[in-house]
Amino acid sequence: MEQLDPDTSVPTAASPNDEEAWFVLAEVRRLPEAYRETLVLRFVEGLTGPEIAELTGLTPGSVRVNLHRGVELLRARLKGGTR
Amino acid sequence: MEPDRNPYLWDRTGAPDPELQRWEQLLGRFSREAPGLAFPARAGRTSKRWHYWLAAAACLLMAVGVGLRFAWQPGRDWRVVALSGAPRIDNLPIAAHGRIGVGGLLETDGLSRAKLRLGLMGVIEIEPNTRVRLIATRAGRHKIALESGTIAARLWAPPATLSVVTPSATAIDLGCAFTVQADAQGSGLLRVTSGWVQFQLDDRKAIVPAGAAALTRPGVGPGTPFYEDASSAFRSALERLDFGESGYGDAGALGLVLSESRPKDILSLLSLFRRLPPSARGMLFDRASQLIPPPAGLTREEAIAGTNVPGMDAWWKKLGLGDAKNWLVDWRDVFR
Repeated sequence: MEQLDPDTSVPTAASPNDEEAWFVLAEVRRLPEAYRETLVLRFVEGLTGPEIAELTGLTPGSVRVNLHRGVELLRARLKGGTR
Repeated sequence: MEPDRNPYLWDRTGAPDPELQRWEQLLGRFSREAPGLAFPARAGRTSKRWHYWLAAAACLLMAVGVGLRFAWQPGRDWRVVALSGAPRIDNLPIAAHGRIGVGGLLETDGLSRAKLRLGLMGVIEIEPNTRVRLIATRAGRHKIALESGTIAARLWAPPATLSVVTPSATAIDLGCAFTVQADAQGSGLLRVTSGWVQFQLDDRKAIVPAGAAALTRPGVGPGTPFYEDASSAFRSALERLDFGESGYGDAGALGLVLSESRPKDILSLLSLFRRLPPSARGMLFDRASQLIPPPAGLTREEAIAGTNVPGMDAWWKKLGLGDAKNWLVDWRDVFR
């Protein structure tokens, strides 16, 4: 599976929600690799589940599992009040 | 498989999930297609001496950065960025980014280009119709094979950090920027744009400085370094010497090289001293002496016999080409 690398996107222009965006991205980066890659494709690149499956070669079932588990983990970490 | 309890997460159908929509809004800015956003600003009072703290932090970061820059886990994958088209790693296309492991093959077709990132030490651009294989990677020693095509490398690292193996010679960086071409028959061309590169096959070596080039042929190895703005007669005669049937015994080709040489072409003449038989070195010495006189203490006999290495080194220094590149001072090269 090809790995997306969020580090290669280096945004440059300011906007009001920058700090929150960076915080959420930092939490995404801390996720286990399989979840992280799937969530990056879903939320950063805006792909749908079927598109992620086609791009990565994973089965739709695996993508679905990664999405659900990754989202649950991300929700828990964001609610964990680590900010 | 888990139940599809959130269709919006799967394909954005069904009832929108506000939290997911928020993440889409926030993280979508990091997409390559997005205009982007800034690193978060820190609120707080600004000290009048903030610049001192900034300078101190910069120094600390530089010190740590230089130390960490060259750290490298053995066998670590290299990052690949698609610059255009759809480059392939091990026969699979990459959309935008990917990674290549030891033994992996990166290929571009006629419409694609890619970039290999060697950590913070440098970049290697892969031009169209090129095949590159990652052979080895560990701290301080990285090796790729250019099977065919063209690559352009820029490095900010100690000498010999990167080796590029082509079918007929290996280019070893000495702190530099360079391009290497290899055709399907195994012939190749090295062009150095900054610093120095050692081009070699076994004991046959060419040390090529910035602005110069060297050819290579399968089964023979690298030819003599030369400047590409030399006359075509000079270049073709030099090619005859390096790769012709008569080799360095071709008196006609040697005569043309000597008569066509300009002052800057003394680079080629001094490089030929090790290649020509002693019987031909006298003419070489005489012509090179006309272009740039040898240093005091180096006699014609010593140059022919090859017995005064310090004297020859001093002659080389008179060319003003500098020593092997000071990569630490010329750090800006990596950003060019």
